[in-house]
Amino acid sequence: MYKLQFKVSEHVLTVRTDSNRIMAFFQSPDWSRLRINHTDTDLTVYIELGYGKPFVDFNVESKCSEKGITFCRTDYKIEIDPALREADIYVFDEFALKHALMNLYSTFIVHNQWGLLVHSSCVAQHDRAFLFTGHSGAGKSTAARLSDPRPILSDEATIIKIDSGEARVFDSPFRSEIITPGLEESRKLAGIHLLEQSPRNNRKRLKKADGMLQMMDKIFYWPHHAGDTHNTFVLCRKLADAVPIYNLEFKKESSFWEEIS
Amino acid sequence: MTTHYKSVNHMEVIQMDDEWLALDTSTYSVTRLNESGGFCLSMLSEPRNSEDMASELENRYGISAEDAKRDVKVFLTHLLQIGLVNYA
Repeated sequence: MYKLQFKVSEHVLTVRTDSNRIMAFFQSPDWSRLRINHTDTDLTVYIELGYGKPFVDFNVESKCSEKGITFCRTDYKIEIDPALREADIYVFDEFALKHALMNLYSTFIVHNQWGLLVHSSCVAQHDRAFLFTGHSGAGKSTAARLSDPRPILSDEATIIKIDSGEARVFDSPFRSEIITPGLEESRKLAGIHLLEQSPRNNRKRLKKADGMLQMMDKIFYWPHHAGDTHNTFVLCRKLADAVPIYNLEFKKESSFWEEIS
Repeated sequence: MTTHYKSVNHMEVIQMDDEWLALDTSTYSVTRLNESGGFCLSMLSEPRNSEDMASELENRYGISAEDAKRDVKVFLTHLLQIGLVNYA
């Protein structure tokens, strides 16, 4: 049995597996830069290949009982203990594993009222972070790429800690395609941008309620328990209170940064 | 017999600036309400009938009895439809 440990944001994640293929997955730069050796762990995950069928769609079924939480997709299954300290993940392939890990980590941080995993890209500018989100194809990855040479904190799923009236972004291993060195230190989230490609750049701040409504469906969250759904709602509200949310019409060039900073 | 209404238990309500958001925790859906809608919903933590609600709305916002009755009717119809209010 192999054992690996990672520091994901402020949490120690311990991975156990018998599979060489799973081990290879965690050799990617996104994960290997987070490797640590630690005596304590926040979440232990056992991972096994050989489950289910190839990916069909993003539909996830969830079930919650006194025995714990179960999430099922055609290509993965997650079983989490009631205390959310241990989980078993069964996957068809590496694509399924990435999504299962995102599902598990999102559930973990929401349950602990720590923060949210948001479908978005995020870029650092000095000591601040700026998040880009929107519907599929809106330009999340494009905005991150056009932000070069600013460091990229995420290009698919942004890890946001929400605490004491402040939101902070951590380097995310849940990447799509952009490989960067990553950042060890978190950054204060200074703005959330809902992207819309346009012939001109224009940024307009939203009312808090509008911003919160927009963010609700950008969260990686699969409803499974009223308590955790409540936590998601509270965290979204705190996020909308702490961080200005904007509509950003942007041209596909780096000039959109003139609207931001 | 007078019909009474009450908000469902699986609901969270918050106020942001001058708007209200009601989250149905059973479906993870959010409904946006204006200020008077939020006020109507806040009345329904306990069973209430539409006449009492209209009367309170009339007093709070200084609108006519006719407008208050109409607003309450629209509010109740919509929230019964989306399952955030039940018959008590």
